[in-house]
Amino acid sequence: MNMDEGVQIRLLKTDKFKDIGCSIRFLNPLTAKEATARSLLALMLCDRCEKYDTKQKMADIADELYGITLNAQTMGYGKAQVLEIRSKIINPRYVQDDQLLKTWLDFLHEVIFHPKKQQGKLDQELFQEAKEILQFKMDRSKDEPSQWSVMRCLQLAGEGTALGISALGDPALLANMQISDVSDVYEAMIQTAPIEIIVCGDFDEAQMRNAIKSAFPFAFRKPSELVHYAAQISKREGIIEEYRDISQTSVMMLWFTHTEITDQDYWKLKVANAMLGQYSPSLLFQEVREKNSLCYSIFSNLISFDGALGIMTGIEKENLEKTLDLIHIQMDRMKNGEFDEELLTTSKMLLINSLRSTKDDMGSLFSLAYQNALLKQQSEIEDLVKIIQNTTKEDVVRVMKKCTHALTYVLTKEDDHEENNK
Amino acid sequence: MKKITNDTYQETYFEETLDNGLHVVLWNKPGFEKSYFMIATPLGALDMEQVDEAGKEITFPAGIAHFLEHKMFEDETCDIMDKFSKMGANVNAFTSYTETAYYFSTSGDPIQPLHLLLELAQNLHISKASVEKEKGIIIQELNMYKQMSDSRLLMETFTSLFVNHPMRFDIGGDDKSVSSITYEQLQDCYRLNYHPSKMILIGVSGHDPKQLMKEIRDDQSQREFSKVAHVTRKSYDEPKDVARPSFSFEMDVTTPKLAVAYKLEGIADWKERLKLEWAFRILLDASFTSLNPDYQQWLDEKIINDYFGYDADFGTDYGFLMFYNETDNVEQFRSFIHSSLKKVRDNGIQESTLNQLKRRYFGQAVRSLNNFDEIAVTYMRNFFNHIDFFETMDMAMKITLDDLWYAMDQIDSAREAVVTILPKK
Repeated sequence: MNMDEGVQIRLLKTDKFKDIGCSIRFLNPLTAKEATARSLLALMLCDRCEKYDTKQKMADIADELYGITLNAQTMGYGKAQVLEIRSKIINPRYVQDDQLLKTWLDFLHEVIFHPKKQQGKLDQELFQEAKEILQFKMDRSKDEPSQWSVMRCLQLAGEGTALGISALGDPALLANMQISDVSDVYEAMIQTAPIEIIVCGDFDEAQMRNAIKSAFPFAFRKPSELVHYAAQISKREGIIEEYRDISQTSVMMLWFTHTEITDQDYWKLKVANAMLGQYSPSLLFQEVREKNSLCYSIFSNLISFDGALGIMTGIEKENLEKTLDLIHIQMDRMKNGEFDEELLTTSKMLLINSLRSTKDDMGSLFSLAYQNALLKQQSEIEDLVKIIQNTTKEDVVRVMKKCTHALTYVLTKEDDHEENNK
Repeated sequence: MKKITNDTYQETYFEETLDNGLHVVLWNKPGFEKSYFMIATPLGALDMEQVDEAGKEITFPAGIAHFLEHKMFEDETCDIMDKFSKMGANVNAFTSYTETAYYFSTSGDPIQPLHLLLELAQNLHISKASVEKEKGIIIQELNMYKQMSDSRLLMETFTSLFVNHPMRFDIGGDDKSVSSITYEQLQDCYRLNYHPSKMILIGVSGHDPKQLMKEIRDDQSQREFSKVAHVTRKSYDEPKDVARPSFSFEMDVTTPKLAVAYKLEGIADWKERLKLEWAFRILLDASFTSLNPDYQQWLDEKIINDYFGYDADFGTDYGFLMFYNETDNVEQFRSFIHSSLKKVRDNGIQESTLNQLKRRYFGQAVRSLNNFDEIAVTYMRNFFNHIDFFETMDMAMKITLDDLWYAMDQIDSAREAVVTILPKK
């Protein structure tokens, strides 16, 4: 049922969980500047608000509600950045408190509609604190070479496009962010961003719907537009090496799949990815780790809303060439159909297993419901299972043949002679 | 099969000890598609020296429990991981300081992978060549953790705190110890530590517990196990002083990271240990989070940032308390910890704060029961420590202000180690 087309409520009623969760997602265009401002906003919203204007008061109300969780985070979905506010509370049946859910929703109302302000603008001190924390978070992402390699590879291949923008924001823009930038994205979020409110758990549906409508009186707004796409041309090609003083070499290889998430081939591509590097029987795990002992961890992953596929691993520097060759060989095997029927069958089974597990995890239920909302479709898990079951070897070969190598990014230690030449 | 129901948490499980000594727990989760099964032995990274009933000491290189975990997946006739996959199940394992666990999850029928899990944990098929081959993979794994600044800080802190205790080694050992592990040592370690009478099998599933228990009983009755010597983990006498009061090293990090840690006494009695662990948690949550009115000021004055945190843990023969942070000013952070601990010692904790935290922990305890692996891991740890599952959860509710005073008295500021990671120049 719609509050209006741009604000939708989805109730996922199930008695499996011990708690009730609420995920409120605001859809926004992904630009580097606004993404940075929204990351600041996410930090500010969960820290304090007008009514609970200190961290201590926020902790007090959270504990009064038996230790609720409250998080705000930004996520990339193709050409969009989503700001999600998520909270979970113990189901009132464990404490016999019939006011618990109302107090919780009233609290979430305060967090969203009444952020801490000074003279009509968002609070300056809170803004400064968020800016410092975001700077630390960005610096920290550099400290983990594998995480950094993924980000750098996407940044280089997708420069100037949605693929190249991190949902965390742009470190280069952070220093010059003004409080007005954050106020602007907040107002846009409250006034115009398409919103999905997803509630999951055991509750009376009619009562919950009314309570949500009353707690979140968002103004009318336009519905969301489609935000997925398939990246076409990499801004950089071949292999890019960058140097840091690290003991293990991190590799991120990027392919463009040329298959959009709404394409009929998408779930066939999911099967192909599973065979290539998602599970232990996959070609990458078997050939690179098991047979050649080159790494501990290797896997491939779809970046579904951008039409991309990444392969990540960590190796010894002297094995770089051998590893890259082996990875390319596995990609070629997929494209040429040089794999056993058994790998196809097993990967399908594992993918179905993981899809069905979605029903047992609240976070996965939120993600699936939101994906359906963004794609304006209503895929049931069992419909997707059927598509997976019907995927053939020919399907896998076809979707893999569409994949083109975009960029290989290597973060490694400089050779001694390179250091000496500097 | 004994049925245990808890009304407060609205949960039910079944348990039975089989003829071969294997303890089986089946946690009933009606309505869930997913099943999660874990088999574990109390062999961890701390078991570098074990003592048998005759008092004979058996010594292993650092990292042997973790190495064995890797090799348990080997079979000369097939790839075990592959077999799980073909059954639609995901299998994995972990080694901690005190245990090794093997587990799988599936949303399909759990019976076949359950038999395979038992097969995996109750047989060792290795060759000298395969032991050598595994060393490369393990060293890559160690290297991966070594370049993660957070895990490196933790590892170096333990190395600074402990003189004799194996806590000073990484769970996986190091390049040298891994390279030295032999086929024979792995065989010995397996034989002494993987007998069913030492192990526990826990299943969390929506499937019929009676049917599952029958399958497990039938499976186990067909397997034979030779009698095994009873071995125990050697206890260590730690000197009061820390190994390295101050230690710093360079890494490719942006901001310096540091840990200020205190060596504490271990506690043999499990109930006392559990009580003290809760008391420390309450003490720390009340004093070093936003519940403390000074917390905002610490952030504003840049004494701490969002990385700041703490941890306290106890074993039978070791204990530690640590604070960690990102800052350029090591001395400022150190004196902040000193003055804050003194303030807690002088003023104590308010009863209202204690009650507020109990309310929080109750909510967290209920919500933790959504999580299949958390149920299995918590049950397994409690079982090896001879603690009842729900008693652990309720222990927090029984903590008094006196328990908090007692916890404060355990901290000796002279037994301090400071570890700093500096950015590379």
